[in-house]
Amino acid sequence: MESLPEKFPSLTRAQLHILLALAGGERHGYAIMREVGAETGGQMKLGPGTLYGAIKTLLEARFIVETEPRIDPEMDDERRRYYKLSDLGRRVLKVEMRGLAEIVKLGRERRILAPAH
Amino acid sequence: MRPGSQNFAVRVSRRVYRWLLRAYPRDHRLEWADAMEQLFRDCARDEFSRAGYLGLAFLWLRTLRDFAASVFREYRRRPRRFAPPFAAVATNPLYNFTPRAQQALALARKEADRLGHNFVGTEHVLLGILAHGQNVGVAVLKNLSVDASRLRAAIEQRLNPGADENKGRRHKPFTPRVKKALTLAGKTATALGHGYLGCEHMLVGLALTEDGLAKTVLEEFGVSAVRCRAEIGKVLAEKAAQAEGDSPARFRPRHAFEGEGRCIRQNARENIHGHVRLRLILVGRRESPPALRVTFDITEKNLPDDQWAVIQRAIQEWWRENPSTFGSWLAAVEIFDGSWCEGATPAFDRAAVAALKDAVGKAVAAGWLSGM
Repeated sequence: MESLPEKFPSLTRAQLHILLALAGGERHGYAIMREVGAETGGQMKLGPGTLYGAIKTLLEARFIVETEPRIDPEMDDERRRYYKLSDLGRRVLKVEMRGLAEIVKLGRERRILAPAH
Repeated sequence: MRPGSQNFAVRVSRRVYRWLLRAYPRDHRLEWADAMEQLFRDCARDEFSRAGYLGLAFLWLRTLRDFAASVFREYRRRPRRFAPPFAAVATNPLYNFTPRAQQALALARKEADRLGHNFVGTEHVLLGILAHGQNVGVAVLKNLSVDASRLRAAIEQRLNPGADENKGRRHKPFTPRVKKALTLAGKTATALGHGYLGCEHMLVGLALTEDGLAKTVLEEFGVSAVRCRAEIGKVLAEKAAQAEGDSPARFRPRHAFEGEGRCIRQNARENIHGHVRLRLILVGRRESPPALRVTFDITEKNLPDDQWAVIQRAIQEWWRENPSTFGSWLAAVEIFDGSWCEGATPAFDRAAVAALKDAVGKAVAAGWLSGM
């Protein structure tokens, strides 16, 4: 099984959700925020400080890369900064999700969660 | 609901949030404040159209919590491993980089970008100096009979191209060695009694930095720091002799720019639109009266002739007010062509700019300035 190199910090929840949102393709900040909100059923509402703090950390760790700023035709005529997952980020996300799946499996075995069908 | 009220509430919220953003650390603010403001504005607009003032109030509650937590986090972030990014160093008045040196550093970043590297190393700085082409550093190398294109080739031969995903990254930190080289360059400038840090000093700094790739390659070409330093004196003396021959009122470009880091930054931002910013500064030998500063843009539509008239008028008006000390004025003309600004595509006529610079020089030589 693939393992994370030691030097990578573990992901926070906000970072994990951002990576998951970006797994669906390139997004700008607001689109990430909306997607995270929708996917968690409104549980996780990222504010600007948390969102861009996490994006900054992910950029520094090179899990995501910034692409050309451009206009989102669905919104208005302002230029927005877009981000996408890097290859490294995709790998990290995969490892992280596997780890979470293990934990969920454990929860099912211990009868804390309902067993999968 | 009145149609105007939406805009008003959202607008006020946005302005208040913009003001709050000042609480973040400076480097975070410079990079992210615009994006955060935009995001908040979008949220405010959405919430308001969804749930009116109540929605906006809830958004503010959420945002304030987020604000408090994230300001705290940003200040606690561990310090960067590398030297501060380009802008922080280049605009630090302590360093007093010449515009050419700044351009060379910007070209160094471009070289790093072209090669797909996510850092700026000594080799990139050397490539930047060479790519800039018109500086004392290159003149020094030429006097030491180094062929610039062969030097370039020798450096590039030693480099491995990096990953494509590094291209276009905004954050390209200087490596610790570059920081060291720049510090040594500053020391060299001080030792030579120069009040500025130019490409020639950077060259010496690079040649002094142990284990730097630049030093290794320079040594291969028989260039040592000692030889560079000796050559700087000769090159500058030659230039000074030339300038004396050209014009009785001497051209002293550099000192006028001390402590003007901020302005230089702003110029860069404006240059994104492809304008050329030319600044004419007349600086007195004495502290008072204040120096005259003329700043204007040259675009393709703005031909040098009009610009020349603008300078002339500005100088005349200024002189009418301060007639007494004119004989001791020096003219300094500096051209920022935006080439060091990332992503800029300078859409201007280099020949026109050169002609303008020439015209100023001739006016000084003809005694136009001192004759008034």
